[in-house]
Amino acid sequence: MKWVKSYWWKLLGVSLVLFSIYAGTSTKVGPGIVRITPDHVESTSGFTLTVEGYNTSFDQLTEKDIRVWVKSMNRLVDGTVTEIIDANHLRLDFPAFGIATNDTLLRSASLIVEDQKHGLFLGSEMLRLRITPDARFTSDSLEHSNNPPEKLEQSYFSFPYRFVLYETIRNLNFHVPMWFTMMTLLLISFIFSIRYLNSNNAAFDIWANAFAKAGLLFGLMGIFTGMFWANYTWGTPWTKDPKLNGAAVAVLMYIAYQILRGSIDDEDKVARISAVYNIFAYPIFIVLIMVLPRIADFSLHPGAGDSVGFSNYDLNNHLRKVFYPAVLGWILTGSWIGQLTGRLDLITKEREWND
Amino acid sequence: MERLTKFICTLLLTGWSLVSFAAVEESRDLFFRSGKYFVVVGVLVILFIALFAYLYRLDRKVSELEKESNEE
Repeated sequence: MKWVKSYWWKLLGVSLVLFSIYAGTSTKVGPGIVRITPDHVESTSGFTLTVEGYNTSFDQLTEKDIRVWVKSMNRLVDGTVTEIIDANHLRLDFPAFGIATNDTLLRSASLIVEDQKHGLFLGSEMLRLRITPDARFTSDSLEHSNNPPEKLEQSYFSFPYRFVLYETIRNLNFHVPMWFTMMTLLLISFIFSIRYLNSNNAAFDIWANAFAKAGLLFGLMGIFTGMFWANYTWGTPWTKDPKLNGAAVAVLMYIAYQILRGSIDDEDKVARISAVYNIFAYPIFIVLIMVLPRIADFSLHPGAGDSVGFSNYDLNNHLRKVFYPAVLGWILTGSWIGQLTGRLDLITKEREWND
Repeated sequence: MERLTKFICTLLLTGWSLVSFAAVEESRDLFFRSGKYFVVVGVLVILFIALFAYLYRLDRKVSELEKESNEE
C-alpha cells in the first residue's frame, strides 16, 4: 500500500512513455500521394494521370473500390481508375471539362482519392490545370459531381502522411514532449526559487537547482533530437528558425545558471543570487520558446510563425491519442528524475552541514 | 575500464563499417531509406543516450556518498 502511494505516478509516467514508444513506432503512417505525372494537364481535352502513392495498398483492392476526383475552383470532376499497376501506382482517366472563364488560366488543382480500405486522402494542389473557355461547356457542367466523396473513415489506426516528413512524423511523440517536460520542470524550479526567497529554507534552493538540472537535461535532449530530425527533413541541423534560436538561448541561459552556482563560494549568497536569477530566467524562457516564435513572420516549425500546426493534418485525432500520453508520461518521468536528483543533492548537502 | 573502452570502440567501429557498407550498396544514406524510418530510431537512441548519461552522473554521486559513509 505504501509502495503504491509513493510510486504510482512514477509507474504511470513510465507506462505512458513505454506506450508512446510502442504506439509511436508501430503505428502505420497513413496513405498519401507522392507524385502525379503529368502534373500539367489541359482541361478541355481529357487526360490520363499516373499516381504514385505512399503506404497505399491498391493491389488489395479492385478498380471499383477506388474512386477519384480532380478538384479545382470548388468544382469536383469524376475520374475513373483504368489500371491498378501495383500497391503504390494507379492509372486514372479524366474526361474533358471546361470552366466558364474569360481567359485561358492556369489553376492549381487537387487530386482526391477514396477507397474502402484507406478512406479519403488527397494530393493537395499537386496539379496545374490549364483552363480554356469552351462553348461546349454550358453552365450545367459547372455544377458539382453527382457522385461526391462519401468521406469514408480509414479502416485502421494511422498517423497522417506528410510530404518530406514521411515516417518521421512519429518524432512528434518523442521530440516535442521534451520541451513540455523542460517547461514543467523549470516551472517547478521557478516555484521552489520563490519559496526559497520567502522562507530562506536552504532545502528549497537545492530542490530548485535539482529541477533546473533535470530541465536542462530535457532541453538538451530536445535540441539534439530536433537537430537530428531537422538534418533529414530540412536538410540541415540548424537553420535561422526563431524557435531554434530561442531554444538555444534558453538552454544557454540555464547552463549559465549552473555556472553561476558554481562560481560563488558563499553558500548563502549562491542560494539567494541564483534564486533571483531563476525567477527572472523563467518568464524570459517562456517568451523565447513560446511567444517570439509564434509572432515571428517565418518559421519552419509547425504551429509557429507562418506555418500551420500538425493539428491541421491530424484530422482523425490519431496522432493526438499518442502525443498527449507521451507528453504526460515524459513530464512524470522528468519529475522523477528531478526528484531523484534533489533527494541525492539534499543528502549530500545535509552530510556537509552535519560535518 | 580499459577493456570496456576497447569493447565499446570495437562495437562502434564495427557498427560504423556496417553502416558505410550498406550506404555504398544502396548509394543512399541509411536515414533516407524506407520513408526515413531510421530517423525515428536515431531520435530514440539520442533520448536513451542522454538519459543513460544522466543516470551515470547520478551513479557517480551515489558512489561518492557510499565512499564517505564507508570511511566513517
